[in-house]
Amino acid sequence: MRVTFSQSFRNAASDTNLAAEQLAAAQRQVSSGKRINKPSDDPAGANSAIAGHAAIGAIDAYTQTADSTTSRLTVVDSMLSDIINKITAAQTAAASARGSVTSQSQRDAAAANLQGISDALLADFNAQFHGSYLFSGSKATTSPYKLVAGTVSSYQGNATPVSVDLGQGRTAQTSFDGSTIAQGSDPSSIFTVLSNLVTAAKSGDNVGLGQGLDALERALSRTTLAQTQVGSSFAALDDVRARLNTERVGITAQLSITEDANMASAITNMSQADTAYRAALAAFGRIGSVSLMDYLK
Amino acid sequence: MSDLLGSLSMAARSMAAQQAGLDTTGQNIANINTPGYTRRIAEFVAAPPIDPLSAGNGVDVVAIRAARADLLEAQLRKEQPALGRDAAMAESLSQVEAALGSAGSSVDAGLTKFFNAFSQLSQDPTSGVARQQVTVQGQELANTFNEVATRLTAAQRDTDVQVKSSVDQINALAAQIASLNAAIGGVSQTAGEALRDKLGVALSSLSQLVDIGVVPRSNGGADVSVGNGRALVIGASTYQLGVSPAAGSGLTDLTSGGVVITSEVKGGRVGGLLQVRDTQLPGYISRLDQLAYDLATTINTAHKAGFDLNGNPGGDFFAPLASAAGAASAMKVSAAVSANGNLIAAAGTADAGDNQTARAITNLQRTPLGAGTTSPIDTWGALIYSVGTDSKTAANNKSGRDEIVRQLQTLRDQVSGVSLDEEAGNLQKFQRAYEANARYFSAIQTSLDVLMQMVS
Repeated sequence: MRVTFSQSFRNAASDTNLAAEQLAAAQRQVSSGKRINKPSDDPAGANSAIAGHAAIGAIDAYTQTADSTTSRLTVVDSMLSDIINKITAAQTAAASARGSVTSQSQRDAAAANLQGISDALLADFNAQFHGSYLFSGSKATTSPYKLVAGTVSSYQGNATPVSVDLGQGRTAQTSFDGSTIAQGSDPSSIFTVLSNLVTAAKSGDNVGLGQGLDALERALSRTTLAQTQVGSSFAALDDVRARLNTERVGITAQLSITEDANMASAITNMSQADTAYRAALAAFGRIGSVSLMDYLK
Repeated sequence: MSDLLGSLSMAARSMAAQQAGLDTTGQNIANINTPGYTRRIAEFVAAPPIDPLSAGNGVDVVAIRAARADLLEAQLRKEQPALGRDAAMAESLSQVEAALGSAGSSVDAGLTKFFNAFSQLSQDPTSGVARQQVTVQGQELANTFNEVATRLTAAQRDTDVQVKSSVDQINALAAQIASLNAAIGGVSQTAGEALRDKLGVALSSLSQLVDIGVVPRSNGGADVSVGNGRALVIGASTYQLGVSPAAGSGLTDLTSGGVVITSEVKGGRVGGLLQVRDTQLPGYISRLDQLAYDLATTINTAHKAGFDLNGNPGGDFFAPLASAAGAASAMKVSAAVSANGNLIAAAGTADAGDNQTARAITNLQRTPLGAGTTSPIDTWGALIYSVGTDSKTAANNKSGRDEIVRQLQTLRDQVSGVSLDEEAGNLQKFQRAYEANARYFSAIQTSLDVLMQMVS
């Protein structure tokens, strides 16, 4: 085989160029820490990286929803605790007005106390979170109960609960139907019950006070039940967060395997490519350095 | 039997022949780096005797022949168009890849942020901030679609510009080949070798640009055709390629004698550029447009099924798109929603606090789009996969073709290239032969001197 001058140079140039390309690619992997810097590096990997990033984005959104829902339900829980305390206080006040030995002034004081509790309960039911009412169903901009000429109105919200998604098929309720707590299946709301109790306390109507106390007891049960449900939502939210976190760790690990360079292997490859490049340069430098010309006299 | 004067003349002729051998070696060494140079060989033939008792009359150089490898050069001209095509495709598609952006920072990121904004709105449907965020992310998503579409269209235009400039190069080379054909016809075989070297270089350059048919002429020139046998060079005449804007697209069409031959050009740099410009890029643009159209239409349908913050039925979220063609570059949030975030339909009922539509739109991120079977993210992922695969295939093809062309060039060089060692050997060979002939000349001259002294 004849070895010619230009063929040696062309092959050396091409081989050196290839070695330089491989070194540059290996250096890019090490400096960027990424195995995939453009889709053609691994088309299938790039595709699954896109799906991975989207899955992490969705998980982050669900986690953010879970956090926000927890804050909202914390306010709901606090309001329900407050309502329970106030119903208990109303029971105490109504009981104090009951009986044949209570004086008119004692009954008036109890009536005044009950009226105050009614006003405070109204504020609890009309509680808001970030400007939206918690107990008016999906009518977030309508207060559940209104005070009109000293009388609390009927329920102004609706029975449509508002829920948010915490994952595929997992939801959490964030807005509640106030009337299921304030009235339930009773003929009148807790505000009417308290108003009747005020009248009964003032007039010493023990029968009316007894009926009112029974209604308060039922309201207490309803509120406690609602709070229990909120409590279980809290537990479910913790579960959801833990599950989302586990999913995120899993997907992130998978994404890292797909996208990130294995640094030990990348550095080894870079070192090998560096050695190959140096060898190619050295070989290139020696082309034509010796020929028969050197031996002609 | 020749006389002494005849011997003297034979020695002189032989010295002249060795001198021609030295000249040829010098020419070979001088052109060791000249592109397309084919090494020259001085052909020595023993001069026949002039009478029966003569051994011969020395040596003559009958020709200075070029060591051409015609078959290998023809094979190179067949492989080079494929290399040119693969190289052009690899180069263009690598730019397209860059135009699409990397995972987690392009349309996919825009989609995720957009759906997440609706997810946040579902948590607080009356929040002005959440509504503003939906508008912003919707516009961001539309902008990302617009930018990617613009980059793809720009890539198509850049490819078109390269096609045009390649046509200029083809015509320049065709003119050069025609003038070489004319020159080759007017000179001797030996003098024509240098012109044939130039012709070889021109044909090689042309075959990198476009797939050509080469028919050798009897005088050493070449006739060249492109496409389906369309004449480009016949003898000293050229039939230049033209360009004209294609109807509709406005992209460049190649013409030969007024006939559009764009679809006939498959190989060479031009073939690769046309493949990317007319097949690959329109395919990507069409898929991007379809994704934008399906997404905007699906979101609008869901949005119109809901109610805005004022309790009115929702309108279009994205400005309605007439058709998929051009959808990616035309996509934008509707002017009404942009101006008033309260018009975003988050509710499934007329109640302001309801969030069913916001949840439904959020969940569209996992729902197959339009008539397709994949979600928006998966559709985008499939597009990236296609571009990545096409680019990788083109790069692999180029690399494989590079090796084939290199092997052929090596084989050609083994026949036609200049070997420094060989030339050094030849230098030594001719120099020694010249010296020996000079010594023979000197011996005959001495014999003549002796003869002269005898007669004086």
